[in-house]
Amino acid sequence: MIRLKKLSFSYENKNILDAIDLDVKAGERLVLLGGSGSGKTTILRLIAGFMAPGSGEIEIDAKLVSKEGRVIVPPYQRNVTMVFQDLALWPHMSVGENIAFGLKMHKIPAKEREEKVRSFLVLVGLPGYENKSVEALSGGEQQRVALARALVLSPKVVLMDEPLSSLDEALNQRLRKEIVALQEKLGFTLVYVTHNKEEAQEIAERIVEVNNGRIVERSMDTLSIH
Amino acid sequence: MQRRTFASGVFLLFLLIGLLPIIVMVWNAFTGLDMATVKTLFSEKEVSESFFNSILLSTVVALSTTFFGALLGVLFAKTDFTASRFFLSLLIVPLLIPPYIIALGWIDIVGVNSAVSSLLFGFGGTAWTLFSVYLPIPIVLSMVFLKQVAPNLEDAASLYTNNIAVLRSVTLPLIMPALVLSFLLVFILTFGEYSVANVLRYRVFPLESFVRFSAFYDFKAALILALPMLLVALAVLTVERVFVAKKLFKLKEPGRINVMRLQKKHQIFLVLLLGLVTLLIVILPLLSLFLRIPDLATLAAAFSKAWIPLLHSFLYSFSGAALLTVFGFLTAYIIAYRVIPYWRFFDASIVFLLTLPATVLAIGLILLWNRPMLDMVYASALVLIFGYVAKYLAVATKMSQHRLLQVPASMTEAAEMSGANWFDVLRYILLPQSKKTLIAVFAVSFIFTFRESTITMLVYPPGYETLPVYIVTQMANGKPEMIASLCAVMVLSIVVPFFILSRRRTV
Ligand SMILES: Nc1ncnc2c1ncn2[C@@H]1O[C@H](COP(=O)(O)OP(=O)(O)O)[C@@H](O)[C@H]1O
Ligand SMILES: [Mg+2]
Repeated sequence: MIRLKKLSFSYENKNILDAIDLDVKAGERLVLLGGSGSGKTTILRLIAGFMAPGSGEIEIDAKLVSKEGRVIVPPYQRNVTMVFQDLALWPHMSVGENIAFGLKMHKIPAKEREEKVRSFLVLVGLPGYENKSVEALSGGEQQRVALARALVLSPKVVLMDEPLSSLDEALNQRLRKEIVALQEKLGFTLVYVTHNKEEAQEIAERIVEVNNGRIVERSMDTLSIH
Repeated sequence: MQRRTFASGVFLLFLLIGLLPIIVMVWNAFTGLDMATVKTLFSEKEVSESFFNSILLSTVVALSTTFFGALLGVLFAKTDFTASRFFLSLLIVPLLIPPYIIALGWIDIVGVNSAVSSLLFGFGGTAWTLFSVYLPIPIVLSMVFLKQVAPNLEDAASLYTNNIAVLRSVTLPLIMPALVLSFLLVFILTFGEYSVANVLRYRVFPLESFVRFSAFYDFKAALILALPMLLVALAVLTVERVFVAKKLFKLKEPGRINVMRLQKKHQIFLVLLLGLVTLLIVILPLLSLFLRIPDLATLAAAFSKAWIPLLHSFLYSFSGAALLTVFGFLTAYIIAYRVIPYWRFFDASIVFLLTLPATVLAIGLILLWNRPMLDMVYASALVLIFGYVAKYLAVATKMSQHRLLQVPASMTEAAEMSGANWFDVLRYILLPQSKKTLIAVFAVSFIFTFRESTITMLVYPPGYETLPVYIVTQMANGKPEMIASLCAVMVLSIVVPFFILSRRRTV
């Protein structure tokens, strides 16, 4: 589904990623695990198409989408969505408008949009929240809105960048389970970033460790849990 | 000293310098007021016509500058357009100088009796001139806010749609309060501006009050005519309170921002387009005025006449700007940290003074200080500096406040936990972090006061005139070459230092 080939990236002469190769299969739940500053967000931003790789190639669905210094297919044509670490909910839009935005941009008629927004709010456990302001929600509720926004377009690939890191432990644990359940139900390909090993194990079907700009495949049971 | 006591002192000083003149003015307008006088005054055709003219002019100038200013702000702040700095520097020039200079330039080009003179003298020319004067305000305001839109908010939208749609549906709505603010600011500045209308013989409302005051010595009429301006100022203040003050979204600190790539052909097209625009609104009028200067000897003669007013200008602007910087910072601190219970009133009052047309403020200053005992204020430059501080305190305060609100509360709390009192926090935590902002506040205040002619014109004591006022007094009977040379001295003395200083600072 996603293929990274000899992918490198640097910020002003500082190497962040060093010729990484990675294959993500369709419908797979892959976790990128690594300490802070190891380059996890950078990998997601390259897959999303927010920036171009220094060298190497990215294929999504067997189609070349980025290569050396060029974004060939822009983010909105990649069938990829993302849950950001800081959520990036738009403060000037209501909950419903945030979720409906992608549908609107894809010219889905208003009636159908409303339907979809309603059913996805039910799916993430926030029925009837359409008209609330996103700034008035709790952290956990905002998280769910961000999830609904990422899922409503039925994307092939969903990228999640430490989506639960700002929540308390209990909520974090509950939402992990819900994310896995949602993925199993909807069947999208999930690339999930975290620095938490326990979280990684619970989410992942496969774990890849990011370290010093390189990646190492980890077998699930060699991870020691603290 | 207690924090509250100190803050109350600052507030009292503000009351004396800023609010008291207005209170005295309103008091005087209403004492011994008989409805008959009011009725005859407002039924005069010139009065109602000029009021309508002023509202129309302000609306048109505010709408057009905000629209084009936002477009240019996007171009300069959110794309990799290579000539951004160059065009921004040129477009900003009309805001740095007294606005009537641009009007004089156009008179020079069009002529008083040519076929198109009727286009220049009246609504069209006045609106066109004020458009070029106030365009930089929305440009700069939208740039400042655009640079603070968190890039993730745009990235999130770019997963669903193209760059232009992201701009339209996310970026611009996020800075909408800044655009409303630009509109209001330009509206009210245009409403209070009469020097351009005066030169281009367009009847605007502040001019009515001004003329009754300075030409007919009809003080009562001038006072009564100030009242509608007070109402307009209050209306603008209300809109500001409802739509801007509360709606500002929390944006991030300036840092990484998303920048759109422009293709080569678009770059070239935009350079040509902006070249034409700057030619039409900045270069042509100034160039034409300067070409009027026959030789260096005339320029030298103008300088020898102008150097005392110029010195005054520098002195008053310097003192005014210094006072504004200190006062603005303290006010910002009091409002941002809600030090006094009536901080909201304080905040609204300083904005109100900015929205008040200069003629109204000037009349108030005269009424308050023109008394035998208070001569040391009224018969000196102090009255001018008070006027500047009252008028522009809002600008200084809002700039500092914007910065103070970005300092995380944890920083000041940490200082308090290590034993710092409120003044130590101000002195060692907040002040150092606002240093860059305060330099900008000083520069902006200096420019605003240096170009000021409307308050100065009404209140300057004999022998204390500034250069912008001196030029106006010479306009009645001076030779065109001399006026042009004086304007050149004015333009050079502010534009040259501005560019030298701004080259060293990245905006
Ligand atoms: N805009 C940027 N400019 C320069 N360096 C950056 C920028 N963004 C991230 N980096 C650097 O790239 C490295 C990897 O960042 P990131 O991918 O965000 O790591 P992670 O998400 O794993 O914490 C870090 O060392 C970070 O300092
Ligand atoms: Mg990260």
